[in-house]
Amino acid sequence: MSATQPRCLFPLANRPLLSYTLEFLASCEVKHVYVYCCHLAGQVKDYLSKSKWMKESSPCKVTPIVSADFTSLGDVMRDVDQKSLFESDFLVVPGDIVSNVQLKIPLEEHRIRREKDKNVPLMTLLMSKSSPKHRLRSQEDTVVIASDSITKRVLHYHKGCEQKKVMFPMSIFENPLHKVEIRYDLIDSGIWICAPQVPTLFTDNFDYQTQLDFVKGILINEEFLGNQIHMHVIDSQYCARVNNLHTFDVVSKNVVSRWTYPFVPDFCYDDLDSKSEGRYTLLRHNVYIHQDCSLEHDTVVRDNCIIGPKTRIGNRCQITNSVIGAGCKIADDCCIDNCYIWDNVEIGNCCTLNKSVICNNVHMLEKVTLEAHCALCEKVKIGPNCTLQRGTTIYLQMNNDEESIKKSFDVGEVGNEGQGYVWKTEDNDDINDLEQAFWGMSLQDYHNTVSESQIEEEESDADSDLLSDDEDDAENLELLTIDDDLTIFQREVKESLLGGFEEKIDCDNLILEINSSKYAYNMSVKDVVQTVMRASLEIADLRKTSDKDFFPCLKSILLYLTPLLCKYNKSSSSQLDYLYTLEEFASQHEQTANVMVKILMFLYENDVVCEEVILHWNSNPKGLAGDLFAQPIRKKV
Amino acid sequence: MELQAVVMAGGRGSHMLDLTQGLRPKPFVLVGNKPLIWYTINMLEGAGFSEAIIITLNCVKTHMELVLKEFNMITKVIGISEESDLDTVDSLCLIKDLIKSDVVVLSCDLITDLPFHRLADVHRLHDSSVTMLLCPAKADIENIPGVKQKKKGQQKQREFIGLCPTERLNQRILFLLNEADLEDDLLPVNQSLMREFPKFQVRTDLHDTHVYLFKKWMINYLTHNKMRSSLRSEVLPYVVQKQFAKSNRFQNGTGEGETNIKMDVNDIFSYVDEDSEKDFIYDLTLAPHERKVNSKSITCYAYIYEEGLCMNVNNISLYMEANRVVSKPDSTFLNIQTRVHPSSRVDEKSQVGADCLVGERTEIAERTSVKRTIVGRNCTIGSGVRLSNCVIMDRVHIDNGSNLNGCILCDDVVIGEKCDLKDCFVGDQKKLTAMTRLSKESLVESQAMMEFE
Repeated sequence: MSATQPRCLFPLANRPLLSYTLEFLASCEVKHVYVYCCHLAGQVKDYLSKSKWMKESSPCKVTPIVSADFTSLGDVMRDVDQKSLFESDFLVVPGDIVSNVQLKIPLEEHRIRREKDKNVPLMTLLMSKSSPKHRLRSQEDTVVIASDSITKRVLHYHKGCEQKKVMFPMSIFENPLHKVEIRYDLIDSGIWICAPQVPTLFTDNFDYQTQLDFVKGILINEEFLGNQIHMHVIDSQYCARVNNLHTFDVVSKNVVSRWTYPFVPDFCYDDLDSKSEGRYTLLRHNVYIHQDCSLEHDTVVRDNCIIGPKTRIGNRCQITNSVIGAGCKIADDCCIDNCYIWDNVEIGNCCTLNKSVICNNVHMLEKVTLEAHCALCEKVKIGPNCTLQRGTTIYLQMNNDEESIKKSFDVGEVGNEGQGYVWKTEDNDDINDLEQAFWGMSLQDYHNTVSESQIEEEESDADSDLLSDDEDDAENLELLTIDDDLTIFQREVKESLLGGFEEKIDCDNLILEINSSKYAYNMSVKDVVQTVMRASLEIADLRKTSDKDFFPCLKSILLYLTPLLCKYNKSSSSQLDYLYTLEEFASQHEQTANVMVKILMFLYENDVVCEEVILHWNSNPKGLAGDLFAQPIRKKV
Repeated sequence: MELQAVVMAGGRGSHMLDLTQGLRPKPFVLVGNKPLIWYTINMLEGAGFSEAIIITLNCVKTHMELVLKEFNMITKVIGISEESDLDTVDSLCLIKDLIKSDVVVLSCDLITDLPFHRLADVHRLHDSSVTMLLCPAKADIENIPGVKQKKKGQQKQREFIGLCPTERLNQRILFLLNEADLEDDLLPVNQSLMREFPKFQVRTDLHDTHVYLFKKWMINYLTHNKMRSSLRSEVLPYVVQKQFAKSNRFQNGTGEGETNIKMDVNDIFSYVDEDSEKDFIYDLTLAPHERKVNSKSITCYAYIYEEGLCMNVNNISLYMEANRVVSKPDSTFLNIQTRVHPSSRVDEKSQVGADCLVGERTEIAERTSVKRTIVGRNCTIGSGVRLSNCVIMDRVHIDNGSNLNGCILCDDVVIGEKCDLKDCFVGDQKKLTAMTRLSKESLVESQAMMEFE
């Protein structure tokens, strides 16, 4: 869904998400917002330029900053630092927040803390309170926080719920003055009140990508850097992020049932956007009907519904708990329950839709049935006479190669005149997994437009300068990160080594670099050892001019890297790992096999590996596929 | 009878061996010229108990009975033999036939001004299986008599107590973990527990006063499962943990009828009392999906006594502290009419402060000043002696011109002329020659070298 439309422009109760965020900021008297746009930045910028925010009358100044290169919050913050946008405290807000919180109290708390001690309190995280079984929670967002209940200082931050037990470092209980409280009833709203040093810290620690990296890094280094993080718990006001379909569903419902007042559909948003001209009328049981839509006589709209402008709905339809966008055409005898239908959707006669999301410009022909948790992406065409199983996702455009592989549409799935592909995960067997992933459990790879907005707040509250940035990830990159940290790590190490070798950087710096990557990707020592060895062999292979040239080339590299290799050879098992990697590589690479003895000799002479380890290795073949090759190598040795 | 009281007085006082060696086992160590056990029994009597069971060593049984004569309440002294080395759980098993109702187990070294009903109220209110009394831990005082300097690196093992507040001071106990049992300096907490109790505190600053209220069924359980021998370090953490375990019996028991259920001696849940009344109320009031809650649950609560005084006298430092506290002018522990016993003689030219106690038949000569000091029976104190912050036991003789500060003098000690002692511990029958000057020394027979925590 987010391939063609950035997440922050998804219509939530018929208004783009970003507008909720900006309205929220304006209501907090924020004066200047910088919006960082990345994924599909053009669309975000277009939207902003047409919206009221760019007009003279706008309550706050909105400056879009466009860059497709930013892939994470870390990049954005480093850019903020580079441009030195702020000299005083500022706010960071994700572009997908729906909230009616008044920031006065947390800002004041933050200010008092900062006045007391200039450098120590770094930022305040805003958390919203919700019990563990609250609908707004999605599992992936589970956070556990240990904090001091008096000073509200965050002592430990844990994210995720994979493990059965959460481990708290004992050090947080050391100070008897802290009344340590463990909170499981919080949702991280993503709103930060930051001191101006925050962007600098991101620059200093180039491996910080996400908010989690940053918070963890600060907490771990608390002793050296002396920075502290505090939190503010939002108790009675509404604050939620829309970062997956599950929260999209829940937040939409909350908007319809007016939890987010004043940001409700019938609020006078004074938009001049042609689409939303005219007003919604609120009928009882939270039914909002736009002035400019037409419903036929026998159609029933009940309970928590929104019908957008210029939408036509035919006879005998039943619509419950659904949001229908602008310019939709719904024919006769349809039954729509718990659905989100975006703009310009056409639905034929006798369709039944349950708990699904239907994006812009979808066309459904007659007698289509959607079981729960389906999603139809932009411009998909379905039907006639077909039923989509529970949890099916149909898409039409995809930027990657998949399109070319699957040329024809599966008529069985999408109907005779249908256009669209069934979306499958890599291991596409388990439909439950997919459904769960889709509806908000571990949605990362599908729906990962991360929007981050960031707002600056000058010390004086009312006439403050503000900035917000909105930034959407390039989908592909995120996918890669999730896929395989190891591959990225290997590539990174190889690049560092290659660069280091070419520019003759001091080995100590390389060690530092590799170590930081190690922590960034959470690699074990074993991985590091194997990667380093492998990388040096590959570099040698890359640089050789002829086959004969291989060993001298390798030798010069190894000689250069000796301090580095020695750094990781502390235990005999690490040394053994060197050798096994060498062997594995040699089994696939003939030249290496030819000079194996020389390499071993070299490693031995430079004290990288000791004699016992070589002997041990020689007498203990590892059951790898390369055994056949390994034999001759061993013999040679 | 709603509650029975059991006082554990069989301890040897291993943390203050200097004081407890010889004929003075822990219950009889004098605090404010009263044996330690007196305070516990006094508190129980004040709380309205008419009966108490006291478990003590055989050898002091008669002595104990003598001490307890002072009280109106019926006391039953159970002796255990010195050799058997019975632990707390074993001791409880020994008297299981005497226990007819819920029971409060306390240690004889407790000195507290706690209105006991508060603890009992927590027990009644939550119908808890175990209720324990906690109080804020006290910082160690400086200058412990006889200790040269604090041994460093011997940090106390911390106890991690997870508490979920229900009311202001009653708290549900979620876990009890000792630092020694944890690995890698990490404190593990189950996600399922956090889901149930999303907001709770982890306290390390609380002291367990060894006062526990047990339901009757707990005693049955203990007598059948003697694997655990210490209430404090084994039984309690186990029971606390079992609060959140699923009751097997409840799961498969309801459908099959009572007869099919075997009494499983190892399953703690098979001991839990059924409460049909409560089940009935739950049935009427709870929504169907909540009805999983059943009366056969184990619950552990704690009461934190913050405002008043509560201490366990189990080392020298606390012994000094206790003496100081009970002899304060505004202390309510001892019903003191006369701080100097009528049979004692204090010279008119001497000063005895309002925070001192002087025992029977003690003589204090002229120009002597006594401040914040407790003087035992049959002592003779010479002229020109200065005593401050001292505890002086029975039959002690102090010669003229001595100056003692922060010392403990045991029975029959003789201090020569013009001695100057500061923060010293002087064991039984020690005789110090004139002009001795000592600081932070411990003068005891070598057989019992001091061992501190």
